[in-house]
Amino acid sequence: MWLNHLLLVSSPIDGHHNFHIDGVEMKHHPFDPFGSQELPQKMRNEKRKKEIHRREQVNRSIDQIMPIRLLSLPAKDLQYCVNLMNVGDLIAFSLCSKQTKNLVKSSNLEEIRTTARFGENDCIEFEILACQRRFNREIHKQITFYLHKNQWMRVDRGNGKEQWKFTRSYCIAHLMSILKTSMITYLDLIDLHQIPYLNTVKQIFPKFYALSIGRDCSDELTKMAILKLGPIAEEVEVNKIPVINDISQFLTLNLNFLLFKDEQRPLKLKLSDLLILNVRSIASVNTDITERELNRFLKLWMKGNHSFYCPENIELISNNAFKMDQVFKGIQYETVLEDHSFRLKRGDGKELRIITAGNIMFQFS
Amino acid sequence: MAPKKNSAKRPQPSTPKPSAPARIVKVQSSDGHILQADVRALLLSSTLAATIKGYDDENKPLEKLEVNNVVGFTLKLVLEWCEKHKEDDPAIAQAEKDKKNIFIPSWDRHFLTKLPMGNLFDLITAAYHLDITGLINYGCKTVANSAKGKSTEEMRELFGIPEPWEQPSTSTATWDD
Repeated sequence: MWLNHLLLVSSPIDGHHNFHIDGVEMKHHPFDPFGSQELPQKMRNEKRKKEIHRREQVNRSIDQIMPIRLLSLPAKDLQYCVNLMNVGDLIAFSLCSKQTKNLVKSSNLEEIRTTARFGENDCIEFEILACQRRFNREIHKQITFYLHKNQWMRVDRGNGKEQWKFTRSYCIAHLMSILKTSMITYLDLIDLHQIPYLNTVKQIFPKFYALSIGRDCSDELTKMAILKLGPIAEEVEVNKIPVINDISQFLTLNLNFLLFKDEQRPLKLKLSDLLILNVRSIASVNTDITERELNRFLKLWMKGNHSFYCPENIELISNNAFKMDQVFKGIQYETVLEDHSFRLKRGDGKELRIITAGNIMFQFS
Repeated sequence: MAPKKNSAKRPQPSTPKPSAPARIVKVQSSDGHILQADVRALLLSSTLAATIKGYDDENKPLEKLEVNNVVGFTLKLVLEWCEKHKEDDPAIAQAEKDKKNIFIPSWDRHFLTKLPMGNLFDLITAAYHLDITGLINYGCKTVANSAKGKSTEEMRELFGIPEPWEQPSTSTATWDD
């Protein structure tokens, strides 16, 4: 294209040709090996000058159009602008700079729920459900971040996946910071097999409210996850019961809620397991315990005046419905007509309500 | 039927006031431009309303109002907006201020979205200095709307936010920083 601007001026006797390209005077000898190198160098310098000049002009025109920036708005109005943004935009805006991050932190952004799902190949799906002021199910939708190690993050704000040029560790730290929390709500282990990876999980999310261990995790990992990560959580959901001899180490964890949700493999319980329970509320959807063991448990509870028993709720579901006559054998109980439950009273005034409907539920008060 | 208790608190839709003869005054911008405006339009600005009231109280003839912190181009936009809204009830703008979902009427939407972002920022700043609640509400909402669906890079470009000094990708930011 530059040849269009070429103007041959003269052909002197010494064999050098003088010509102009874009206003630059050039000397060129057809047999001089250095002559040909002069051309691109001079051209580059001239082009660079022109490019700098053009950019300066563009910048000047931008400055004329945009004499002030958003961040130069009066503080009150700027914060008001930020408060009016929706959650997805707020997160994108917070990543612009430190000042925008602080503005978003000062906005009325409130966390409703955060979920981190760990899957195969070191992939984390991090979901955020947040709102401004009042939560509205119709307006506030969850935002999902797809975080792979050594890759830019991807985000789905409801309009398909976008790639944002931030790394996983930065993204998580940033999101936790703008949500002003150090604890996520749910930690889901979906499909993990490598036990050492649990340390990575713990490092990335050192605090979480509920832990869920998926069916696709290996037995060994499930066991280690309960023991390693369980004590951090308030609630634990186990979707596959690992084959282990001693289940008691899970039952002594200090938890608010423990759920065994394996419909294929039953949770084998004995009287001793019920006695050492340290969980406030426990439920099992597939339980293997005999009526005799339950009967002995009730008798021991009746006798244990003034003794502390931690659980408030025990719900046991069995594929074979419990025979209640065997469970209550030799125990004095009342029938509550209102809800067809049974009530046991202890000498110290404590009560145990037993609800039966295929399953058995003990409510201690 | 007894009226509802909280009906008095609700902003009522603007009702056309009986048309009084327009009282035109001159308004001078910081760069010396002189514009003309109806006093009713100027009353939307709490700052100018106070000045006008001062003149009226002292029975001084109001010839020219000086607006020292707004340039001519922006002042013209402000006056255009005020002229359009001079019949509005100020209580509506005040009530909208606390709402998250501000509805921008079609004229205002057209008026504000056609402006380049820089002029819009100027207009919001002018509205702030002149204390025009309605214009602040609509201006800020327009800025918030313009960010809709934009990525971080697009927002930086749109709002003129400089790149942070430290590269986020290599940052070791902690949760509490």
